[in-house]
Amino acid sequence: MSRAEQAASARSVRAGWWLSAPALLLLTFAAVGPLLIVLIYSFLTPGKYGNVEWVFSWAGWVSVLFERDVFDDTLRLADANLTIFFRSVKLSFITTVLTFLVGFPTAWFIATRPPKSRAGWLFLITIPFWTNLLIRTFAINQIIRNEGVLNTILLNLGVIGAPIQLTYTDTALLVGMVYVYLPLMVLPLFATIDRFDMRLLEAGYDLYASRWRVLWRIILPITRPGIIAGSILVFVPCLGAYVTPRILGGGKNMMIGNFIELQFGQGRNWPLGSALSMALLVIVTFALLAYVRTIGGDRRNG
Amino acid sequence: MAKRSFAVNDLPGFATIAIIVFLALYAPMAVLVVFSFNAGESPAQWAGFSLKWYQLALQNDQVQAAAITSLKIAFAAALLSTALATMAALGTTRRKNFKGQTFIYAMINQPLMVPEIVTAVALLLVTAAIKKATGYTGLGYLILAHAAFCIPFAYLPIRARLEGMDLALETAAADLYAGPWQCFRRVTLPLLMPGIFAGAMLAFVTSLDDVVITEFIKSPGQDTLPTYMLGQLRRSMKPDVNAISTGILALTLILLTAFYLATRTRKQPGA
Amino acid sequence: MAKSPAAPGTASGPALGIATGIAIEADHVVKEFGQGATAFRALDDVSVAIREGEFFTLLGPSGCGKTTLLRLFAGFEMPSAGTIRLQGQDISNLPPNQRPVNTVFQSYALFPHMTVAQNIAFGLQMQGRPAAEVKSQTEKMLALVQLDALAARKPAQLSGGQQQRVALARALAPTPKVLLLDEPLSALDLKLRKEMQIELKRLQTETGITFVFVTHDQEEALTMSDRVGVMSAGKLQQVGSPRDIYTKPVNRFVASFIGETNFLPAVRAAEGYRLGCGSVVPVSGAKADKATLAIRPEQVRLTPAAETGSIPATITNLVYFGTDTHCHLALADGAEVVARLQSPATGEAGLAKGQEVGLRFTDGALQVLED
Repeated sequence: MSRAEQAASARSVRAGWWLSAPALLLLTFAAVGPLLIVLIYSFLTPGKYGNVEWVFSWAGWVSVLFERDVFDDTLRLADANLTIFFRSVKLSFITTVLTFLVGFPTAWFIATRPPKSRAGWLFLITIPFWTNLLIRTFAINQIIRNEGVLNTILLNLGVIGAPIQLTYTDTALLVGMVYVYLPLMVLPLFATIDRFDMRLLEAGYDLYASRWRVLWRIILPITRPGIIAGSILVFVPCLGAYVTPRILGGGKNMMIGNFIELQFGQGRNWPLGSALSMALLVIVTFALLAYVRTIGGDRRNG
Repeated sequence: MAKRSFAVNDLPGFATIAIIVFLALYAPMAVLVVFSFNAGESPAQWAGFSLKWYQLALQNDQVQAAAITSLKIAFAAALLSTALATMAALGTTRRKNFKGQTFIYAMINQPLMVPEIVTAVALLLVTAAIKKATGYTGLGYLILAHAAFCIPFAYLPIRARLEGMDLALETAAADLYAGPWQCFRRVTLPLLMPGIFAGAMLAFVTSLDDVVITEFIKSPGQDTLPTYMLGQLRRSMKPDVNAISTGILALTLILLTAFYLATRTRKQPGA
Repeated sequence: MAKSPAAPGTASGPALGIATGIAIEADHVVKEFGQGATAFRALDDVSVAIREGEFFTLLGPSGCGKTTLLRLFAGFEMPSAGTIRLQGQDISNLPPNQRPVNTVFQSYALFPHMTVAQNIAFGLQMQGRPAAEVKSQTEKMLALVQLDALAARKPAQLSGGQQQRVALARALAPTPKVLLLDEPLSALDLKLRKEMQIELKRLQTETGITFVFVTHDQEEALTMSDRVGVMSAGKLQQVGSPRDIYTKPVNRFVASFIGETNFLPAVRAAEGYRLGCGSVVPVSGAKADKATLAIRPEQVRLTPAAETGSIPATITNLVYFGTDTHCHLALADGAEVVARLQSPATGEAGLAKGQEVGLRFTDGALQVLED
């Protein structure tokens, strides 16, 4: 590179940084920086009326998994906590699987519409994605409540004698989360299927594959990046879900999100809440790294 | 004699599932909208058409206050985040990849990668500390917080638009003696406008919709529409929530349609 | 318009089909796309019978329907009317995965997530053949196209020519009754194309499988095929050996699509046809009152001007092509004729612009095309 070229290149890089600086500044103070504060608070002691005392303590992290026996002060595994963690992981996993099972056909359907109508179908699936989470959860609640639409219809038809108790159960959470996070699975799947070369299907059929085999051996392996992206996009928010479990689960079926909120409300254990938040963040980061690694590998395989 | 071809793209049952999914996605919201016009209280029994819940909601002081707060925050946050995102997009696109560009990219998209509850907790800690120190309890915290997590939503459409722009246009402007600022003002910016508009729409909608972060860092007496609704849901199930929801849905729909119209790739000469 | 000469032995019924050696045939096939007023007829009453073991080429310009016909053979389209028969059996409505017919696609359509070996093995596995057979057949195919060393690579790591050979091996592995090739060489550069043409011909002879080859390149069609079917605008114009297509085109389209031709309008006269310039060209058995005479440039001989029986002409341009010299001539009425002469050793044709010469046509080379 000539001297002039080097100077121009350096100017370009500097300009890049200057232009990005304001955004970076805001994000540091209002998004990234605060995360460090959380880490610090997780090592402090709970204050009497909430907030913290600036005294170092391991108690926050310890109480993530353990609790002290009231009488003999020994540590044992906190069953209540573990139940919540287990429920969160279980429900997030099932939600991911369910959204995939119905989301893949939906994405395939949209991607195989004639180009003129495809944008319309895409718009239709995007609207729920941008609709307020609260409103969507509320809407689903209206359906499955004891006095809700579903039960009223079934009662009027005489199919059941008494309302089916759906709310405040794990099933309600599942229904709610599948309903709320389905668009997040469909969109990345659509993006991948849209890029899929349909002529490969012709080749598959030409070589005697049945429709099921074409799906299993050609379509799914090639759309794997989209499947993983969609799975991450559903699993991660599910794990940290707060609004949906709160409305549909009441105070009883808590997920990690609700458990964290509790520590900053009635629980008055900010260090524990901070530790839990950190733990959640770490799990999510691992999931994202795994995704990036799989995508990198897939790109190498063409 | 069959007149169709062998439908290569067809997978059995997929279309049926897709249609059911679409219906299932919209049905609950449709029910919500329909029953916001229900004269009766029970959401399961139709008691005639009525606008009374809308009247109730509009007359409710708290609803009014919450709506105004929501809009104030959304406008401010959208403005701020779009401006910052536009600058960041200009700084990171169509340049030779420089060291640290990945870092910038990661920072900008960070809100998308962290669960909302974690960000909410983090912001709670920070604002609680600042509140204790300064006593300020205005909308400032909410606006800044919203602006921060709206940046990625504004950034992506602007960046997409920028990448799709024909460099030759700016080269032509330079060839015709335009300086860098003139070129930006007269060529780049006008062409970028649809992307900026789209980004602002998305930022606005995202801010309007936020529940968790707002719930955690708002001061007592501050309420946005979503937090007001959340509070209502905790207590009774007054049907005016239906009306408010329908109102928000309508607004979202209008904004989304505007977004789609702005990002439709129209055949323009030279663009 | 000329109709395709019926191939001998076009009969229906399973037994007769096999006995007369027809591998695959189209019987009065029509294919329309769209509905009503905007319907587009891609194939308009096409009938052709392709013999067992032959290398048959469908030749024509873009949009003539040759690829549509191929897709009807493969099963990706079904005929709007007419029948497709494989060894006498009606397969018109059979889906592609039930036809023992395989395709080499123009874009190759190799499965990007499978290795070369897995691609080749795919059809065999779908047929449910035992693992040992799949393995041995795959190895045989790899050896046939000389790709043994690359068996474990993925398609993205191969060159265009190598990908082409994988596509070929994959389609041949299940030993289909007919192999369809949809312009498989169009993406290759010239040198590679010529090599692959020889390669394909060798493969066809070795395996004995019936090849149906689609191309718009007439040189390719002429050099590789046993028979050629020339198509235009959804109709089959002529079917015959390369020699017949070239020397005896039945209509103006075939004559002008294959090679270069001089067209001279003429009216019937005593012993033949009179050209516009007044000279009479002797043609035996002249029937039509008006016709177009077609003569290839290399069959036009130059003679000294005054020779009896020659047509007077003036040289308007000489274009040197290295091996040939193209001599542009004008007849008395202004009609243009191009003659192709072999260039002399010195490169100088010994001719000059404006020179008066006589034209003769080689015996038997003149074609009479009815209008």
